[in-house]
Amino acid sequence: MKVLITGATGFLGKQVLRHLVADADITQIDVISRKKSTHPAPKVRVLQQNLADLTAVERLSREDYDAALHLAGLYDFEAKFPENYRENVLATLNVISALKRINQKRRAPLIHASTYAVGYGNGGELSEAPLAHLPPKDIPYSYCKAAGEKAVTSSGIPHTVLRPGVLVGDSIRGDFDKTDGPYYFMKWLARTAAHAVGRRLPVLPVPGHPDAILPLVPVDFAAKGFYLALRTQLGLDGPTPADAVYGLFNSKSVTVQDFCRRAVSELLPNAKIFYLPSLARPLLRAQKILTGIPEATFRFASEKTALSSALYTAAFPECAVPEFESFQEVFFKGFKRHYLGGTEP
Amino acid sequence: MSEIPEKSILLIDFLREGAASEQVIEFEGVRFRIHQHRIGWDLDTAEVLMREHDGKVHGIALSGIQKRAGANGVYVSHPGYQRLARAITKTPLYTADEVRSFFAEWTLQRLIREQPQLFLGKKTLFHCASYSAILPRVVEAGSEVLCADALLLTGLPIPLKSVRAVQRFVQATSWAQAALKLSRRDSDKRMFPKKVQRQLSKWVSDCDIFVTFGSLLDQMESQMGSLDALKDKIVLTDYLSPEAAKRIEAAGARQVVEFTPKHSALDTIPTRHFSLLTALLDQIRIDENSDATFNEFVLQWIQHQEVKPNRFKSTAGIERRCAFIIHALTQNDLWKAPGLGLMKSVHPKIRDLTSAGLARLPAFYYGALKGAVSKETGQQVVCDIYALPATPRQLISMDEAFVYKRLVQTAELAAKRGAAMIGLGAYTKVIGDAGLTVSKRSPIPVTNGNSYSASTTLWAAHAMVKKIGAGSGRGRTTDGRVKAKAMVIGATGSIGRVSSLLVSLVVDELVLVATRPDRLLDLKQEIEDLSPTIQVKVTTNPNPELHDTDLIVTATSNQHGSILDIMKVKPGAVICDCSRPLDIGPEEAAKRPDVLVIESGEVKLPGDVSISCDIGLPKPTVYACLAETVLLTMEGRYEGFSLSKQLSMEKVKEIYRIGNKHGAELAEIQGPNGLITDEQIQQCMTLARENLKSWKSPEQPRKRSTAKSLPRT
Repeated sequence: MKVLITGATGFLGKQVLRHLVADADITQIDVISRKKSTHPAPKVRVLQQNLADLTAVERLSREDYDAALHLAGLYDFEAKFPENYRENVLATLNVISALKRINQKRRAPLIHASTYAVGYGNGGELSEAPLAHLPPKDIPYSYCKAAGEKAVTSSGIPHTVLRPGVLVGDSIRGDFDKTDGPYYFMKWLARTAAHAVGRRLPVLPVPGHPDAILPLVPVDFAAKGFYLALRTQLGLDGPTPADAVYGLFNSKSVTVQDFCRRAVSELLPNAKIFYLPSLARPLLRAQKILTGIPEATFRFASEKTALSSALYTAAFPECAVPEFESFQEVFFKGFKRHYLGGTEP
Repeated sequence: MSEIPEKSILLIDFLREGAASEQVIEFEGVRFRIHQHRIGWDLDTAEVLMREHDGKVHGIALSGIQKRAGANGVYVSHPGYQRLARAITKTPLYTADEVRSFFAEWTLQRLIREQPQLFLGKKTLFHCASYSAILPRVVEAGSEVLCADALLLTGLPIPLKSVRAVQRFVQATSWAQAALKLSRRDSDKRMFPKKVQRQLSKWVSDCDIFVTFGSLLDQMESQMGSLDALKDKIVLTDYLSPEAAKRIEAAGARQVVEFTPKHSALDTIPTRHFSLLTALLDQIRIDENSDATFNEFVLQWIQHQEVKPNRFKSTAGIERRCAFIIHALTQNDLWKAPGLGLMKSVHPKIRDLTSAGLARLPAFYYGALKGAVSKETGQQVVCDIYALPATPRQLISMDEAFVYKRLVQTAELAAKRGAAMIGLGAYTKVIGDAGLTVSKRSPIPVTNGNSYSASTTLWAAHAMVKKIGAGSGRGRTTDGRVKAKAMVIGATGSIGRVSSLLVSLVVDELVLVATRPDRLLDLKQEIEDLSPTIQVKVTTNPNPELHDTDLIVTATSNQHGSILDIMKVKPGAVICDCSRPLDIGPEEAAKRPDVLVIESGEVKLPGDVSISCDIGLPKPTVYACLAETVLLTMEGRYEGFSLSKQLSMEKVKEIYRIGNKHGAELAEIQGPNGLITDEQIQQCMTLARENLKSWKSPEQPRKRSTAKSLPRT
């Protein structure tokens, strides 16, 4: 089987690529990258290509892929809308366009990496079904990822869309690539705890709803989910499935309250937490100056969205994401090793 | 299988936000791959998209942004467009400007031609006038305009009420447009904040006609929650999806006019973006290596494809207006006017003097006929009735030029009130050239109504002859004619002539009576050419021929004395009196209860008709000439249908057909002494049968001897 993978050099993609390399059923892997980089496995070929460039369509559609994994995208809450649109919508459209042409000759499904953030602002529920509406544009990342996902689900090509939650360090060692999501908060707590004054902080205001769910997902679980979804779409583990949209997270993972309590108790044991579920946007922006935590992080934490992952759990029980409680030790160890042990990513 | 060439177009939609898509369509034998991005008002993202696609697609189409904004020759370049145009160097850039304006103006021309008073006196709200090519034309058509450009762009509730105001606004704000619009809107809610929606909703409620764009209408609906504000409005828009059109109709809009023509060639375009259509057409032009300019190519394409402007749905609910001129038939009619009732009791000389004075006055608005509604199309018509305070005798004695002047003045008055055409009643069509000169000077088309008068004359005569059985029992000739004798008195007049021609098709013997022998002979020849087997006699004196005539049609302009000796009329004959004033008065008619005298030309118009003034007929019956004016208006035929004293058979038949189509009916037939009932007809027939038993033909006059006189000795 010949497979195309984009985003293989990213936090998630690297792990997925390892699975593909180890799979004897996958005989060739084309990795899309802007940079010329190599992978030792002989069945890995690097294609230097900018996915946002329309010429990518022509080039990719000439290949005889059996499937494509589209993991590439811009994951940066600070990035402006045009950049987000180019990397998360335009690039996705070009991948779809190429696959449409391939699908005229043979079945070539797409496994697409969306995000749970597409559920932002949709009125309290994110079900495992194609999006009916796009989220508001005030978080460009959410909007553009949703637009990309919608392009996939309405493309007519066979597909599986996976919406990972917040990717955190793997479940074995807690290793992670970059500061993101809860790590921003942890980092700030750590910096604050490094100062005598900070250590004595009596109260800690946290923008967020205490009962909102933080769908934390160890990256190895997510990677396995994508890998298994690919095998399923290739028909390697049974009949080829219908198109599907899955929530790749645990719908109960951890509440904001429980996470903060655990995190704060580790680093600022004297501080009493109080929650600000509807902090005005200008103040959220202002707190970034003090804390370095992107505004969007807290906006997601303020949304009490009902997350569904039952279909995913039923389809891929061996990589169903566990609740945070079961890997929190590894998580915090990983954090400490990276930030406090001097090996900050 | 031959390869269909493929071209790609990047379509950037500034007016919608949503998922991007790629679609493949076939247009004019070429496959186009449309990469569509709905990004809302975001020039930054648009620029990024354009740079990524420059040189890699065949064209870039921008929807929701035009090259320029303004009105009527005063334009400013759109700063957004200028910025985007500078972002690319290789790929042609397309906007909607030319094609949309063309279709809008083309459709509007047709709309105004079919409904000339659509805009007159109405309030028209332009959603965005500075992008709309039709603003000047709508103002020219008599509408009061209000433009929401300032509201949409700045949020300030400042209505722009003229073309000049729009021009000044666009010029003054061109720098601000760049500043205000170039920033990306974070949320679609900020595009049209609630206060803007509320103000717009209020202006929409106050207007009669709403000129908008399909995309703006979609936004309006999503922000207001419904299109209820469009209830009873006429909506003009560049395009509508079938679903949106249904929703607008469900909201109760009176009429929806879409500028984009319906044509199979255009159905392949998934969304009606004029910029996309421009791109497609230009790419076809390039593909064909055509030397034609783009505009010329579009014109050729429209002709080749036989693209036509959209047909308009029935304008049921929208009134059309016409007018009609009548005058006093007798001096007594003058005294029916308010304030003149006392004149009945003054000295006759004072009455005559007053009457003479009144006759010089212009016509005045007398009342209106309302409630006429076509049974076929639902079209409503209102007819304003104007009265000239002059009797027939006075009109005939006046200088023709003076009468023409008065009639033209009346037409001008009627046009100001929104009449699309005007009809001439009674003697106003007899004077001079029966409407020709008036028609040339009038601002609106004129008709003298004679076609329908002739038509209903014979309609009524036919109905009566059928009822009474006149001429029956004698069978038919070999060429199918009824063996019966008919007479037309006043045969060389307008109505008389056509009556003669039509009657000559039916009977086998016809007598033509008029005062001018030369015209009589001419008409005789014409009839014999038309119907060689008919026997035609001409005479200036009807009386000797009355004894065996079954049907008599009178259509004279006689003012004095009787035109025939009713005592010589054959029992059971039908006299159809088309003249006004009547040739056969009540006293005359009463002398012969065995002869059926009917007035003709009365019509019942379709609908629940009401007439607010006295036109000399029992309401709601109207004269055929008035009915012709109303029916032509109903049909949308604003033209000088009947003019001059010459009538054409084709027109008589045509107006009869139009009347039938819309549901006009013959009114209950009037006689000189009132309504003719079936009972009266029965009595007439019984008497006639009795009298025929002893009816003797008069002595035939001695024939002149042909021998020469004996010479004198």
